[in-house]
Amino acid sequence: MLRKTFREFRRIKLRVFASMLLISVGCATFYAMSAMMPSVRGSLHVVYDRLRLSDYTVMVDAAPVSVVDDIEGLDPVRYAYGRAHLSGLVVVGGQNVTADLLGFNATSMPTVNNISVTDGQYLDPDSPDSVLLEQRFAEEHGIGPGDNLTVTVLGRRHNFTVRGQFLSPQYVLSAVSPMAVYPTAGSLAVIVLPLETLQQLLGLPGHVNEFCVVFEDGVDREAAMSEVDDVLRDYGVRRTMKREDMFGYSFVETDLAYGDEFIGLLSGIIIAVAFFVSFSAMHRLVRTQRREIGVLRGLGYSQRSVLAGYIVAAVVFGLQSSIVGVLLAIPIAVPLSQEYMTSVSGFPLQEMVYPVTPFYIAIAIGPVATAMAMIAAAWSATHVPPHHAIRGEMVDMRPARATLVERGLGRVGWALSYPSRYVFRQTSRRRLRSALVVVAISVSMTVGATGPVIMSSVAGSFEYALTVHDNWDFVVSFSHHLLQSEVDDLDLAHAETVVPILRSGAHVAATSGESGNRSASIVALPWENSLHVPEITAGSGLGERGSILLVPRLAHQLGVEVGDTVTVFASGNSTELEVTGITSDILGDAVMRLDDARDLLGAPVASGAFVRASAGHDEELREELYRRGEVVMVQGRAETISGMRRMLEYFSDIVQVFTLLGILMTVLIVGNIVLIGSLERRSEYALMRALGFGGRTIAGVVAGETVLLTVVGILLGIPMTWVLNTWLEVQPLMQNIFPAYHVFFDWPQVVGTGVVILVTALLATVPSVRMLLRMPVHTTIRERQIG
Amino acid sequence: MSGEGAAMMIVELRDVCKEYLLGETTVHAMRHLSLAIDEGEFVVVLGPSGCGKTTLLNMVSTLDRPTSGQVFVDGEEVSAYTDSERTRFRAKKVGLVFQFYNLFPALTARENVEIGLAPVIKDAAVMRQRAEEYLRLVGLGDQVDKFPAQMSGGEQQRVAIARALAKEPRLLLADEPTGNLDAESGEMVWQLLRELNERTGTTVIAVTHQTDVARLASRIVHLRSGQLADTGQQGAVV
Ligand SMILES: Nc1ncnc2c1ncn2[C@@H]1O[C@H](COP(=O)(O)OP(=O)(O)OP(=O)(O)O)[C@@H](O)[C@H]1O
Ligand SMILES: [Mg+2]
Repeated sequence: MLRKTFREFRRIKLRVFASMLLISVGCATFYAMSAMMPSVRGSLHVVYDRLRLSDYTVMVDAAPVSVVDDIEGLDPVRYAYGRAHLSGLVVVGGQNVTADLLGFNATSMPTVNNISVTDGQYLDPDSPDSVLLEQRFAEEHGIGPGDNLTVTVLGRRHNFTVRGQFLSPQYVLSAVSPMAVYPTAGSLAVIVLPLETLQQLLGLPGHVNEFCVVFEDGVDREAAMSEVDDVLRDYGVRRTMKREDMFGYSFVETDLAYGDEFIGLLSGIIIAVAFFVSFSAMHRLVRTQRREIGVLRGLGYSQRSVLAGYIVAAVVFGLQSSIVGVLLAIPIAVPLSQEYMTSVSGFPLQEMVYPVTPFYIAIAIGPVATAMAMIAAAWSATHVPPHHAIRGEMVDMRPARATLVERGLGRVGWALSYPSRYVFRQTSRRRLRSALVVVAISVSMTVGATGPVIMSSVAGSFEYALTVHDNWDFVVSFSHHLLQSEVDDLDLAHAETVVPILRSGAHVAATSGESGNRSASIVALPWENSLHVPEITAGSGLGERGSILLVPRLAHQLGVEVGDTVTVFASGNSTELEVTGITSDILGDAVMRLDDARDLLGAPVASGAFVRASAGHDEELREELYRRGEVVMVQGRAETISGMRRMLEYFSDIVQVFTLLGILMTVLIVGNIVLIGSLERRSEYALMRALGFGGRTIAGVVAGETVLLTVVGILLGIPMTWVLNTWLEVQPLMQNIFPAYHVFFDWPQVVGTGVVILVTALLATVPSVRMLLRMPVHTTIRERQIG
Repeated sequence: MSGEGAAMMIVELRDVCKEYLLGETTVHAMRHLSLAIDEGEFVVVLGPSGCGKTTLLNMVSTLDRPTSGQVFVDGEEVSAYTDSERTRFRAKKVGLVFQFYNLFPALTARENVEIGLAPVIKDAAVMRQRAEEYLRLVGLGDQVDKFPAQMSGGEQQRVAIARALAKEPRLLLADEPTGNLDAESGEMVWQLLRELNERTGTTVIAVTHQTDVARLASRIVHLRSGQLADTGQQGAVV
């Protein structure tokens, strides 16, 4: 019984092969992506472990180097390292860019937060002016070993020579300045100098101001951190940072978490497509076997045993496809993971992880899809009326109604030509198959167009945010906190308005709550007169003093809502503020009034400003700003947008997977179904040729049918894309990645995706058309048709 | 009729051979066949299975090419035509009827006739008029809007004949047009073919196994192993 079914599968091997291929490709994609995520995560942790990313970092005013030994002497501490850390400016392309200057012992590599030298050499104690530059910044600006760097530290200029490039686990993702009002790629230079050089610049020989600590495994972190704090108490603790609060670390961790959700979505799509394609193959098989099934039943086999035979065969084929797919996944997963790892962190891939649960899922996808398809196919085949089963045994004589299109055209007096009419009739005669193609194409279209839509939305959201909520021409960052009086003294001739802002790291906790405190970046604005108005998504804006706005993620983490109270801790002070609204602002995690922030910090300071030029003087203002020593970064609107776009480039790699997937689905679905249709109808095509229609007409009929169904599918896919993306817009997923996310349909891109899908679909018909044109008319016409 | 020496020759096969390669072996489907058919004739081709009857029709209809030899229709060497010339030739000059699967299931009787006209007639109204006229001629004037699935086998074959004739071809080629029908419907189809041949003067070449059809023929061609049964003679005449 089983042997018979296998032989039948072999008879329709083309179809079976097509569905097996699809399942294999689906499983391969799924498992490759599933392996990529843990491999990248694992590799990052290998990098973190190898280079000893600090668990805890404490910045103090100044402490003797020997304090490191005290910290390392603590029980829960495995490694401690003292270094000098200073902010400065580096001149790149005539402009000042923020620099993080790190002073390392030149004779040996750091024991915590070590670096990987990727080009050139590590520091040399004998050349105090040789420095190392972070690789991605160097690449962004085209600076390499041997080049000179002009660095401004504490108001004085110094010249250094670049000795090498490095990557640091502290600065994964890309070097982005926390000072920059809007994070843009290449906005932070990380420079490693000999410790002595930096100590001299600081005027504090023998001292360091930052301690990086790695704890022993399994210790109580909170307790360990307070032990470290105790040792450093006397040296003036200015800032502490847990590993989870590090910008790069937390960004990559959340990014990878979203990757997992994406894989879930992907596997759902793959299973659905595998099911549809298997269904079409199984459906044909069961239909052609109807009579034989009748014979078997006559021989005394029960319906269940006949069905079981088919299902077992389907499962075996599905399983084979899955296994092939998983084997295929391994060579795909490695380059995929390498690419993702470097785009995310700059570091090469360290290890491949082949996760177990996705492995079983990948193995199960094939048999589950084929078994389900077989059950559905057998079910639908048994529901064919008996007289059809008998009559349709030789020739599929199902009539077709004139389609709506035809009747509509007929009414306006336009009769379709015969080849076109034939196309319309075929599609209406094979309604299930046509619907299948249309649905599949619309899904491909939706999947394919969603990538570009997400990209255009992210970019569009920035531009939207900047046009609707912002009224500035430049946003500048100051090299250090300026007093209000110093801001007033800037006295810019070409500026109409200068609005100071303050960005600061702080901890926020729900006043009545157990959820603990979270580190957050706080943005403070003079609410009434700001060139930047944060968008409010719930509640209202900042009220009188004592109010705060939170981004959804922070509100969620703290478990607070509009009307609740939070406590903000900064510089050893704290204040209670009422949450008056939820904001999608991209400047920070929380927005508060500048006067409240100054009370909290105890001084009327500003870390940057929004500046509006007097009419028509943008360029003069820019020049003026460049010349100010206290101004570190000057970002115009266009640069801000393009800088943020570049930040998101690595994200677009992932998004393009959607488009590729859409195209792949189109090829497989259209290729498979058109081929089946052409094989089935080849006597009809031969008859057409016999009647005197040319080969071009036949090609036109096949292509016409594809175009008709594909265009309908694409047209259906456009509103589906709209629905999916408007739905995605309000999902926590998108809101977390990017709080100001609004969907912006880049229609040319969506239409472009449609065109690509249409062209792909047409290309997928080429093998079928070639087969039809090569068939010998005189023999094909005599073949008995089995519908 | 056979006595009318002045009748114009419409089909001529000169020394036609057709070989098929079946793996290692060569099948000689037609061996040095020469045959001439005059305009208006009703030729019935008889012979055992596999003797090359279908091959003969394929040569004339240009559905297949001879391995050697020449085929002329109306004085033109159709065996030398290019693909597109063959297509045009079939569209204009040849009506074909097969044993089964003659009709497009998705089209109605009238549309099945019209699709045969489509390559030659562009005017939809003319096409429709012609289709209905010929369906009336084959006795299906009241069934024009039926789909093949709603018609009997004999009715379906009559639609196929209407389609073959509607373009008013020079030649009507029928390969076992009644092979799939019961005796009664078969007889009706043969009567119809003969009647139309007489009325329109269209040359008919029909292949069959049924020897009793011979009585309708103006001429019978006996084939055996790809040759005329009585070799040496140019067409056996009854
Ligand atoms: N495409 C082909 N490939 C190989 N051999 C073929 C092919 N077509 C026909 N033949 C062979 O050529 C010979 C003549 O075939 P043909 O179809 O002309 O016979 P026929 O007289 O029409 O037979 P029947 O009465 O059974 O229809 C046969 O031996 C057949 O097997
Ligand atoms: Mg034959």
